[in-house]
Amino acid sequence: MKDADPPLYDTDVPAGELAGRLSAAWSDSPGFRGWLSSVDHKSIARRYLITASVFLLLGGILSLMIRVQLSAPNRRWLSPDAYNQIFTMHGTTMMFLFAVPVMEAVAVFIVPLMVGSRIIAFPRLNAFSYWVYLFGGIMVWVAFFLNIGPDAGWFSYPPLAGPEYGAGKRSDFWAQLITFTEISALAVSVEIIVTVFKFRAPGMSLQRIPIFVWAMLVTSFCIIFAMPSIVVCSSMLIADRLVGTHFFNPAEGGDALLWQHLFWFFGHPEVYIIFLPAVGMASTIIETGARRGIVGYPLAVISIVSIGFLSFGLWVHHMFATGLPRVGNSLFTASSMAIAIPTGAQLFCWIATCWGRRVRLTTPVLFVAAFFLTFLSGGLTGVMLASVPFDQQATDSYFIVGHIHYVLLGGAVAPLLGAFYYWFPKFSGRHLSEYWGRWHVVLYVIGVNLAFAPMLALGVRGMTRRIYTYPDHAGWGALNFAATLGAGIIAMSFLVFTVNILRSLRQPRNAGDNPWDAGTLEWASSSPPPVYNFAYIPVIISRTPLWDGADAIGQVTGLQVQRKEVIVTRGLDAVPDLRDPVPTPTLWPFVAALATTAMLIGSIFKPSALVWGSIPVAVGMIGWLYPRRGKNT
Amino acid sequence: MTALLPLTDSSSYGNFLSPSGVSAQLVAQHSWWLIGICALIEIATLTLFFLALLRDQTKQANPSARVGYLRRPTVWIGVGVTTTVLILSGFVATSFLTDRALARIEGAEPYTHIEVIAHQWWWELRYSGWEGGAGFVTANELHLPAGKSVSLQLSSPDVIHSLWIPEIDRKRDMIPGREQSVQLMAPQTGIFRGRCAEFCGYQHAHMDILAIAEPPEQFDRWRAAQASAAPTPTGELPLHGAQIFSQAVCGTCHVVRGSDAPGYSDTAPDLTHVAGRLTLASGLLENNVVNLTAWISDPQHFKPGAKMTVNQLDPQDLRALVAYLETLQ
Repeated sequence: MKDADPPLYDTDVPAGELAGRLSAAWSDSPGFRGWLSSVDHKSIARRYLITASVFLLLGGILSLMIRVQLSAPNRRWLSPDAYNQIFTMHGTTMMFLFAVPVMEAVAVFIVPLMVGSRIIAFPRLNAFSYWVYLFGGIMVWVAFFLNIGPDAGWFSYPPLAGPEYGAGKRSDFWAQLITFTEISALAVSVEIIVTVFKFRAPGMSLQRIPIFVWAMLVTSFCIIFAMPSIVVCSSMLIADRLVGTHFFNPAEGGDALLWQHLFWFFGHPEVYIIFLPAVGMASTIIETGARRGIVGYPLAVISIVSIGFLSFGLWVHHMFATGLPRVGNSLFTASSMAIAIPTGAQLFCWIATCWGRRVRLTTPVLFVAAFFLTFLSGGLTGVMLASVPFDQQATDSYFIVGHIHYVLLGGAVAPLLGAFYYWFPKFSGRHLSEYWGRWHVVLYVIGVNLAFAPMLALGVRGMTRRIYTYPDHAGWGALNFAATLGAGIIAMSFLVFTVNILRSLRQPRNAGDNPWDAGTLEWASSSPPPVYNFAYIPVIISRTPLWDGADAIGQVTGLQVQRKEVIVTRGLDAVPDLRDPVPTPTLWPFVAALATTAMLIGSIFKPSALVWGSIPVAVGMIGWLYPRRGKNT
Repeated sequence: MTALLPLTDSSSYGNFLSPSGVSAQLVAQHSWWLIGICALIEIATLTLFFLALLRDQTKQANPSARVGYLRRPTVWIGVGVTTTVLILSGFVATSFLTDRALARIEGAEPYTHIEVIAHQWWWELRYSGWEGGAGFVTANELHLPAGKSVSLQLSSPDVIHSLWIPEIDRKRDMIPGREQSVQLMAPQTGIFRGRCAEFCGYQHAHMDILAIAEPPEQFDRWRAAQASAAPTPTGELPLHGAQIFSQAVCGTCHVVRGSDAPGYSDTAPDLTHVAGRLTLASGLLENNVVNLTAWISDPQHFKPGAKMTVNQLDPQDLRALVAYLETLQ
């Protein structure tokens, strides 16, 4: 590309040549270096998905180890030390390395397509966030394999995680893993918010934004407001541990309870950061299954937004047993109950959408049914736990373990699996087998209920959380055995899933562009989409343009074909504003992520690494942002 | 010693939905309402969803129809949301009223004061003095006068613990730097097993506490006996054992009031009347000669990570030591 070349527009190119020319301009350079430099949201999302699946497998293996240890009384297969590391790594991996990243992965792939954009905003930042996430995950798992894995729980309460009682470097690895995840999640959130606000297809005004995009927008805002809280407290913990501050040390005027406030101010929205994308996924699946737009669209959007707001007002319900004032506790009972109202409204919108329609019972729809058969138990036990007296009996018992797993496996993972079946043709151009998909659903629903209903009963019978063994005469053996059996069935359902994926990947890419006959824009592109997503950026006049006939989608023309260009639209009404050049692939985000990793891991061993380590990070950032003449930056 | 010795005791592990404590009963009643109504909501929602999903499966597919068949969907959604709001308001109100009722129960005049101090992985109990005797320290077994309210001062010097005796009352966290005062009442006599509910490190699993509720007269006799110092051992073996206790490592941590072992009652359980306890090692082992011998020899086998070290004593000395401890009724 030379400066002297006159710009070449898509209107100047014969229709037959357009695809070839766009591919030439948009494709990554070949080879390993090209692969490392990619800033295409689809390749990065695929990496995210694969990495998150690996962490799901690892976290899943840990959960099976926990279940084997607890399957019978007095098991001594795992030592208390091993057990503490394993349950800490299970929670940390599932929350920080699987649940949040996998939702982001789907969003990074789907949101730009769904809003009719060629890119995700800040593509280089997107590459950076992936590498940081990957390196953070590798760091903590290497530490775990070296027997210096964190062992104070995924919540890391000081003083147990503090300098005096948390020996060695274990909790330092945990705290720095949080830093990695914070950086990565904040970056992705900024990308998604800007994508939704500035890169929507012309015509996609606020009332035409698909529910899933709304859900990801609200989730991203939740991340931006929740993460600073854990940034603060994990940094304070690191400072306590590494440079001798006393934020959480009561003997020197600190306060151990401060951690819990800061952690749960993040930790509770975190649950909704995982749940809201799943709500968006289920809405999408139901709309397509019932072949109509969601009934009560404004209410559905308002409920998603209000769940986002309310999620910040209920963190104290994790602390009802800490002895806070009673009146304050009751306030948080009310707010915790209140969040069930928008959640209920959302469910009623779905039921109304299905009502009177012949809903196609595809695997994605069956996973939404699985959501109802599992999440309701989680949501309703959550309503019970909002009550202070009930919570003070149930908290820190297996009732909570059952509750949270019902919420996460029922409320988040079931729609996620449905979404995976639903968007798999979009990811790969192939269908997953419906036959194996039905087996997957059935095993999953049986497994989840068999694993977690007994846990609710165990909590009622006094079994406390995080114990590595229990005596025979406690009478908890049978229920624990059932729970272990359930965990095994969940594992089997994932085995079926894996076989299904592997079988499908051997098939030809024959799914077709819009296999589900869906209405949203991501299906307007081919499956899998070309690297530039849309040969012409679409212009829309409805929320479900693909259902509204051939003339419901217009085309933007006048973009250059020799360099990467996109349309930036206005935030509210999506009126085209300007043409924008797109950053080119580059190695710098990878370099910057490596430098960040070196700095953060170095700081665990020498606090001064934060100072000298910031120099390579700065070099990486400067290289990344350095303006080059005649090139897009 | 490889096998874990079974503890055979009659203590209840608790079920917070059918408890015996007054407070816990109040909570259980409230809980049953919550569970019942939530179960109904679950059934109703599932029915509605599966009706919506399945009832029109035989209907002709009409892909071009853009309008659904549910008339006035917004009205129906409104009905659903209003029902939700009403039910939840009821929950908030009953939760608040239950909490108020619990607060009133806790306003009663306490029979006695007990400091409960949670350590990594045992319970230190400091009973206050009364007209009949001076205060004393014991461990791991919380004797309570049945039918009387008792005031507990909860604290922890190391990490966060939480006291939970499901049959009697709710959990209370014990957070370093913060004291929490609660009132507890066991209405009936019996042995109720409690445990630490907040993750506190290696032996969180083995940090039980036995609440032993007995008639007030019996409780008074018990505390009078506890307040007294240990009897001076008689007989050759126990006397030798007492010597081992103070000269070997035991006495550097453990207290036996009336003996010449220094010890600290906040470092390790007070052993002045250890033979009278039902269990060893915070509810882990039944208190008998065999278990006591095994525990002293290798605590790390039973409670890996506990602060008590392995003791390689001469068999004769070990027997003497156990014989001495058995005299500490």
